[in-house]
Amino acid sequence: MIPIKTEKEIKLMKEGGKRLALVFAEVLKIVKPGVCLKKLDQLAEKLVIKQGGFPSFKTVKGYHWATCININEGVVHGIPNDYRIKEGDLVSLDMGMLYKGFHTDMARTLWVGNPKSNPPAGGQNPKFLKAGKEALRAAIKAARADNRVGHVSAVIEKVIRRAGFSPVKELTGHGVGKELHEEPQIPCFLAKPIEKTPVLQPGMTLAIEVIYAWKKPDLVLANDGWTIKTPHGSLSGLFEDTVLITQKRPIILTDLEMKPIVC
Amino acid sequence: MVKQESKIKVEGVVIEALPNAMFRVKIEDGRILLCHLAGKMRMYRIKVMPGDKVKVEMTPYDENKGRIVYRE
Repeated sequence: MIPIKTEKEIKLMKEGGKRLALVFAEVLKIVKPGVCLKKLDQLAEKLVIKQGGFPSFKTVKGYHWATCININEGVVHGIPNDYRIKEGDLVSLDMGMLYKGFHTDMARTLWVGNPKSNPPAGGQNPKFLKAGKEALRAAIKAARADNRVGHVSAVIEKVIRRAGFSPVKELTGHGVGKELHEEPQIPCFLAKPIEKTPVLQPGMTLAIEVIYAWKKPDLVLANDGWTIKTPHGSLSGLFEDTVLITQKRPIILTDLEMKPIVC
Repeated sequence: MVKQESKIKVEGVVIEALPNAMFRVKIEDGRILLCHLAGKMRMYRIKVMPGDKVKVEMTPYDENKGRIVYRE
């Protein structure tokens, strides 16, 4: 059963999403060469608590950090360790906040460096990140009441493949609210016929995620037991927003002021 | 945080055959996993030997173990 949120709950999630976006923007500012991942995580945790929330990811059994940070071929669930960001790295930052009983979740990928430095995989990085951002935008647009989860998945797959990249099949977006991961699962590709996927209704809150890789989307679990990466160094991107389904246009609860998404 | 929907499959090469249908498999990024043979492969009597290229399913609960699900 996909939980439908009440008016009161929606208000709380709107507030939570706004605060998470504020924290996210602050942490993004210090993602620069030489910065240690642990420091980013500590800052994120500090700011989340300051905003009156609690880091969502710490509620996941066995995970003791506020963020997941993935470098280059890391896809998701990267543990923030002592690694220092280098010029030319592709960094994905994923963060969640539990505010007044409700989770919100968001993620962005960015390339660290100045235009003159060498990007990994030969200079086509702007296209890579652009594809992800576009896919998320289009996916949110498709997330209207009376559409189905399959519509969202199909759109993500279409935009990513059209740009020449591959959506990751084993990882999905998800409903979000009282729990960090709720129903439904929202894959980045069309896994079954659209008619067989759940219908979207107003009041649903979804964490729509675009997870994709440069070439082959194969995955492997790394030595630390959490980080999932591509086994052959293929770069990967991650974009995520928490979205509220309404009768009309969906509302992005975790809208980053730096990147306004117009539906 | 991203939800994991299905098990992660990796490709690898069988390094060593151990007793009880267990195998050491070297996967794409160089790591060696202790794997067991999937029931379906046992049922259909598909033989796996050192040197075979196989597909291994990884469990999110242990990064050193796997389940051989396919032989090329």
